[in-house]
Amino acid sequence: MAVDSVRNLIQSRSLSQPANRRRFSSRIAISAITGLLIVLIGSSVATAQDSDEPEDPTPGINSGLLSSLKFRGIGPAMMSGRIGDVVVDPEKRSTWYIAACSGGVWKTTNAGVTWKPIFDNQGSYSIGCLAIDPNDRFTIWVGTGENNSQRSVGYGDGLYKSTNGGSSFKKVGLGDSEHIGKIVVHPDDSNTVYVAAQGPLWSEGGDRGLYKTTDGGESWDKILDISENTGINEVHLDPTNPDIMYASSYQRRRHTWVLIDGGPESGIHKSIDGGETWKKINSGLPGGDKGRIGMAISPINPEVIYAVVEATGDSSGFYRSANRGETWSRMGDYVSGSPQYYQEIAACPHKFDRIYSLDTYVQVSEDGGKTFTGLGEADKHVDNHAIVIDPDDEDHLIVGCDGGLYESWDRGKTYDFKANLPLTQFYKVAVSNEEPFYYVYGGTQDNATQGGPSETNSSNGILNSDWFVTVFGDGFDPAVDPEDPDTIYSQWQYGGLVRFDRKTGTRVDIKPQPSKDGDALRWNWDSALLISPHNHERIYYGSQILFASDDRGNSWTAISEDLSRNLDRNKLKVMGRVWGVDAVAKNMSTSMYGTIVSVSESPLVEGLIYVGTDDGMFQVTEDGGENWRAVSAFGNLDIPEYGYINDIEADVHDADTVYVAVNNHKRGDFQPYIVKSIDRGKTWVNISSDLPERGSVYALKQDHEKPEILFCGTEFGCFTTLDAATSGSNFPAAYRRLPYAIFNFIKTKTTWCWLRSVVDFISLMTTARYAKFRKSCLRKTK
Amino acid sequence: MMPITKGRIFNFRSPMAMGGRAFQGASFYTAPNPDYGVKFTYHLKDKLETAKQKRKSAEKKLDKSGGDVTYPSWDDFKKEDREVAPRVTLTIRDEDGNVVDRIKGSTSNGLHTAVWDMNHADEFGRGAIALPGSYTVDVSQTIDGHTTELIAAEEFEIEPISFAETSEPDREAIMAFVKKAQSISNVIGAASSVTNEAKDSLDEIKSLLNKSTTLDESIANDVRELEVQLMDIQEVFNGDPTRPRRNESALPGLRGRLRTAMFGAMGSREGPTGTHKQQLDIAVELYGEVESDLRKLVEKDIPKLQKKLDKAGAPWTKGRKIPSMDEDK
Repeated sequence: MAVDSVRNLIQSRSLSQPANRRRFSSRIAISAITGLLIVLIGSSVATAQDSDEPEDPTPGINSGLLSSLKFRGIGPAMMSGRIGDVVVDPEKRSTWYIAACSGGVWKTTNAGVTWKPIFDNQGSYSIGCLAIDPNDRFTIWVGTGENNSQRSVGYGDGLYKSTNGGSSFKKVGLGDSEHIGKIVVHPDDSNTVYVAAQGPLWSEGGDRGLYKTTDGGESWDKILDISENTGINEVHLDPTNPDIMYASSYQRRRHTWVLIDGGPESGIHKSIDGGETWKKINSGLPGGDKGRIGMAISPINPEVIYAVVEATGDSSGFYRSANRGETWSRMGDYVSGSPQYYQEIAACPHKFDRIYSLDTYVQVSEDGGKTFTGLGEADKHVDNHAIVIDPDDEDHLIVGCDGGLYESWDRGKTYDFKANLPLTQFYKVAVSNEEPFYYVYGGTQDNATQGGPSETNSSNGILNSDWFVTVFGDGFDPAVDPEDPDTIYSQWQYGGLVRFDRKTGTRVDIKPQPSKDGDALRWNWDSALLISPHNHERIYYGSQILFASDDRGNSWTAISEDLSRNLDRNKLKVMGRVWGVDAVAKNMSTSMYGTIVSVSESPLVEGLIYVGTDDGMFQVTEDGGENWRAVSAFGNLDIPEYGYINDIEADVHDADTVYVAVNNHKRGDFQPYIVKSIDRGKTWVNISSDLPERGSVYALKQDHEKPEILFCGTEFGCFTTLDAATSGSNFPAAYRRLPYAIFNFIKTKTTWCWLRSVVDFISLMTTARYAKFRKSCLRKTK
Repeated sequence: MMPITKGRIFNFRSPMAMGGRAFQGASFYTAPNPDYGVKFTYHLKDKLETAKQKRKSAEKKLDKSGGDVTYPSWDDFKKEDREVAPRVTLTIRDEDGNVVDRIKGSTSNGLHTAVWDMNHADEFGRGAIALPGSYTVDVSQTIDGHTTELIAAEEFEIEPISFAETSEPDREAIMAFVKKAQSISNVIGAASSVTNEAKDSLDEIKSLLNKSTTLDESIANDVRELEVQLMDIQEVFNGDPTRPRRNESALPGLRGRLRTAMFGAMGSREGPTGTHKQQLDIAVELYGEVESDLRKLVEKDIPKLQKKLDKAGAPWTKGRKIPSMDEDK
């Protein structure tokens, strides 16, 4: 797709590889683009230099016009992003492929000196695992959909295969697997491949189980089928006899309100006939409900199998079998810190009974799993997901973690960080209102809230060192004071909030705290923050209660009661039943339920505030919080009642109109939902019918000059309509997909559909104009 | 003491989230900044040695020359055994002569440097940033409990600097809040330690009850009653543990609120916010509500129980008076 070739170009430029401009312009072929883009391009011309590329002779919006947009990746790679898997070419060991959990697949042919994204043309950005065919190093298998069960994971659309070292890929099935745990290619037969599909995380069914192909992916047989709720996490082949196989089944479910990371159907299975028949081999493992199980076969003595087993209560532990899994011995209590997020192990090929365990801090055992000690994380980001052990050098390790990729030549004493992978996963971004170069701030997955200039006067461009952290932790929605670009509000997990002073580099803790006798506050992982468009010193921030501060967060007033449905999440059904408190990892790494997740104030009417919750409540106040009107369903529309209200956009031109994005993906429903009200939430119309069926909506943004233009960011792209103002029940809005750069901008505004790196969008959204607009609003109210 | 350069108060940035090389790997080069604070350069003519060190160096010489070692008397050895190492201390005082901080100095002779980080001594875990102004430093030695002056007080200044146009915070108000919070923290810390000690002493009595064959069963009821009361009091201090253990939210305890106030206020350049002040007030209020129950429990009810145990002749447990040798008592 043309959009993606732009993306390729952006990334290759950001990696200092010369861009082939001619190729860029000639490969762009976006058709059916409306007058909207003319507007956008018109505004972009002011900021972009004249193009030296030839004009495309095609009339209308053509590649020649688009090429002058000159989208730039602006980084950062100071801290990178979560890497779920790494594989190394067995012959040419300087060629590596990495799976970015939310950033596609990247390849280096020079051991990390330079990188190239090789999966951007495909249907998934979230990657679970990779495999190189041991018989043919140019055949690469990609399992899409991150194979962890965190609050925020992307989903995939199946399995892909490349036969040319990643130059091109072909989708080869399991389109409904969503999360692929592991791929193993038969050591003697390239056409025989096993795929462990965890299956959908938020719903039952799908392509879930262990799959086998004997024709290189043309057709698939499900050779191990547990149930509609239980998939396969890992599969391993005995290195001396590939007909002997081990697979761990993984029962788990997450919804907005819950995690259950195990059940009676998790366990270990063995086949001795290449997967024709299976038996359970759980003798010696914990007897109750089990969760995620990571396994490794000793490469030195394949009689010995290791398993790190999550189980109910305190029965989790590390297990070892000395008889090919027939019986297991409990070696100790060790299990990774959060099995739904780690729980992978690797057996060292150099030393018998040395096992590495991927965990917050990489753990290593030298005694078959009896004891574990930290490998060492000096000068390194923690939270590890992938490890490669050099078969020729036991001290040479490559480790992938939440902060990117590290290489060690002394087995974890020191690391070299690959500071050239712009993979940072942004939840949301904000921009400052300043001259000459505005700044972009983004809250990231585990890589802090980072800020950086959209442009610099350095001939080197924008450097990693131009980026800086406002507050560490996971970051979410930042906000920059429109009148004081040195004041940046930045969040961390579960409602943490600081006011960062860019001048001094210092911060003030301004998280609202509970009153003496009130209810405990429930904060979402990713809480709702807003600077009032009417007063730059007034900010709103929501737990289950909406707080307002008129002094930049120094003190807060609750301006609502609990705005959620206040459901008891422990009484809701999960996988068909209500589970007890001792269910595996019940509600660990899960937001509280019944929390405010979106807030918007009309720029035209002070005190007209809209709030959305994670349990599908939409609330309106027209008097700054004195009185609230609850909307528990969008009329009779077919909108999920308990959908997550991901974003609200109070119309910037009309005092009574509001747009709402409802996201139901954590019930396995990937349909987009945008509703509109022209009477402040009393009546509603659905204006999303024209959007593609797959791809929840995360973000809405109305053009501040033309009321009819509305942008929406979905799981897979950015769309715009020119009918926002006129759309109604009899006149559905028509949407057009926008090219790559806009796609990413809106992506940055999404809740968890992360952006690989921040892409400059001044050319498109004209921040300066937006800032001007905000300023004029402010002036009006003063 | 060499002339002292004015100390410059400022805050460090953490643009890479952490100091040092942060997450940039060992290959990331950074050069160190000078130590933050006021640097004192001073000269000591003589080194301070313990009696043991003196004896050892004398013996070393004799070892070399092959002479006979003088074997010290037992009194000298006792002196050695009971000796406290000599200390050199730099004492920082404010304009009124109040001690603000002490820095340990080297006891060897020669030229030395020491750095004061311009924070008050952290008696309560975290020191307050000293107010700008004049201070003095003097150097003293302490030998076997006797302190004498080595270098007389020298005056120096500290002042804030900024790297951009920033307004100066009200440092005196921040200091006043920090001092207030610290004195509240002292009380709450003490009360919290006392509740922990009370729990330990009840736990000890409980394990005694399990082993004892002579104690009246009704004592177990008394212990349980006090234990539950204590748990309720501890929840006021530490917050409800029941819900968080099952991944649901709960109100913080008064210690958590105090922590929010102290770390919030002391961790920032701007001092306490309204929220921090409010949390401190709530902590004080909550403590007020629970104080009399706590005092009754630890000052009356538990001693009463302990007396009961004394009377019953139960084996000694922590917190009780020393039993008498006289078997009749």
